[in-house]
Amino acid sequence: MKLNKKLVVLAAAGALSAVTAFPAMAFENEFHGLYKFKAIVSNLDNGGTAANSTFSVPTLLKEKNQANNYMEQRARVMYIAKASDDLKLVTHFELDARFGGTNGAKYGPVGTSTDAGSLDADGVSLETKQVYLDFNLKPTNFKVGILPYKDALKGIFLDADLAAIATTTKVGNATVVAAFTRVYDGNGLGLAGGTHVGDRNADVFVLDTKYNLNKDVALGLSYYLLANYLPQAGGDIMLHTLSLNGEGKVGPLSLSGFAATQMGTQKDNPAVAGNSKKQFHGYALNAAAKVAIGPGAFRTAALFTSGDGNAADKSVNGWTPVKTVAGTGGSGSSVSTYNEGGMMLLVRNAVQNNTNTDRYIVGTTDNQGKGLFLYSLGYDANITPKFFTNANVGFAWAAKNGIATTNNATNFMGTEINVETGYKLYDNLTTSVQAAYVVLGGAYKGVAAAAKDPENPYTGRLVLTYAF
Amino acid sequence: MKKVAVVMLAAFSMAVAAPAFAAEMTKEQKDQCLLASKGCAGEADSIQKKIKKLNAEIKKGGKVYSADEIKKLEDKLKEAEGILDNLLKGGS
Repeated sequence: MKLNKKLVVLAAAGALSAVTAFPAMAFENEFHGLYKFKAIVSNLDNGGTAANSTFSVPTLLKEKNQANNYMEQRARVMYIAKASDDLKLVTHFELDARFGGTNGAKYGPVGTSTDAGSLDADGVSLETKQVYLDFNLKPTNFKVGILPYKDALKGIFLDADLAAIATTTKVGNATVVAAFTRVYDGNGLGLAGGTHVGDRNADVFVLDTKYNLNKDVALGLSYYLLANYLPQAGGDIMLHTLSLNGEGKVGPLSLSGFAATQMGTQKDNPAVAGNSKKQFHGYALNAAAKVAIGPGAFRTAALFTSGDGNAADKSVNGWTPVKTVAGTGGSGSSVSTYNEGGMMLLVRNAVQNNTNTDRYIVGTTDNQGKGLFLYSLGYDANITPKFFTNANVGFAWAAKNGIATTNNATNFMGTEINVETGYKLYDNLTTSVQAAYVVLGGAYKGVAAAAKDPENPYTGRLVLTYAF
Repeated sequence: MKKVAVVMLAAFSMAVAAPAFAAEMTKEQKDQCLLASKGCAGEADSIQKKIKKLNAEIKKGGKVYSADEIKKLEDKLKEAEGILDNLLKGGS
């Protein structure tokens, strides 16, 4: 009995110390968020969402536009339930409101409800941004749910939140991302034509590989398959996108770029207007350089996406990014981005324009089938740890015919000059002023009413950003 | 039985004597909260503060952390920077 008692004591003490000597990893409740306020005066930003493209919307390019003036806000709240370094749930929500309220379709049938910006608030405007489970089974990381994804092509094919199953595997110097994402479910959206759930959908398959040759140089090979078999216009497509991309550092100089080519077909579908047999031959090229000079960094970049000169033939020669599909309950926003040019009005840039109502001349990187050549120069200066300023100039051409058909019309879309200057009031609170002006080029010659030249687009924004 | 109780008590007090609370780190100490999410009781860092702290810990380098631990801190820094980018980035 004595021996037994001792054993019990020893076992109990051992167990107790094993449990308490190495405290179990804390369950972390992480909260983060963002609040952004913008006061805007612009003849292009007009309170609407970042539509696919405004290239050919003359209402935004009138001879004499009146300046829109409005205020809006965006809040984001992120909660991460972290059980360990290897297991967490990420939830991320968004609340947008225009001061005074707006009753766009995403708040219910137009006219029945608004965001929370109108008198006495109450609008239902909590949106899901991301909800996904993130766990590691070494050497692979799994993400399952509605998650953010940006392609290896700097966002020009797909940069969005989407429902996906994604894996990231690191072996030695190689990283492989493989993902399946269902971007539309035809049955769930109530589209006629599918017989059962899972029958007619739009899916994207992703394979991103990256190999670090050394600490400073990485090469990547990517393959994306867009399989859009929704029973509606723009469906019946199998589109393959293959690309080679790379980045490297040489002293103070950073270089990056990619080359991408597309191939694939659209099947003939007499039941759906516009879905006739076509073949895809788009391509895109990019090169960028950044070098530290003085109190900041000088940047230069060029992007080319191919255009389609003849929309009526069976060959789609233009670059084809993923797009939101009309009539599927989406807000009609663009899901491709190009940030490195630093443009505010010419091309969709998700870094500087990050609220709900940004407008662009080139909303999607295909430039509505016309393709794009954008050359940009910029300088980011950190004048003091709290005071910063950056300036950019960009020149844009349509790769194929512009919209103007008058004599002397050209493919040159315009030159943008923009400046942003800001001050950090606190570590987490920044105030800034943004100003951008576009001198429209020959592509817009005589496109306003009565064959007049449209007014040059501009925007001025006062921004307040709190992130924590 | 008394002996049993005494031994149990002793074992228990020894086990809990090691403080589980976050304390100010000296230059030579590891920050267990950042490294292994231990002893973070009551702490809530803004994402910028977390990035700043991770950078400071990574700077301590090989004197304090092993190569694996530095890699882990670097991964956490990448994750924190990703969260900040995700919050600030546009897109509806």
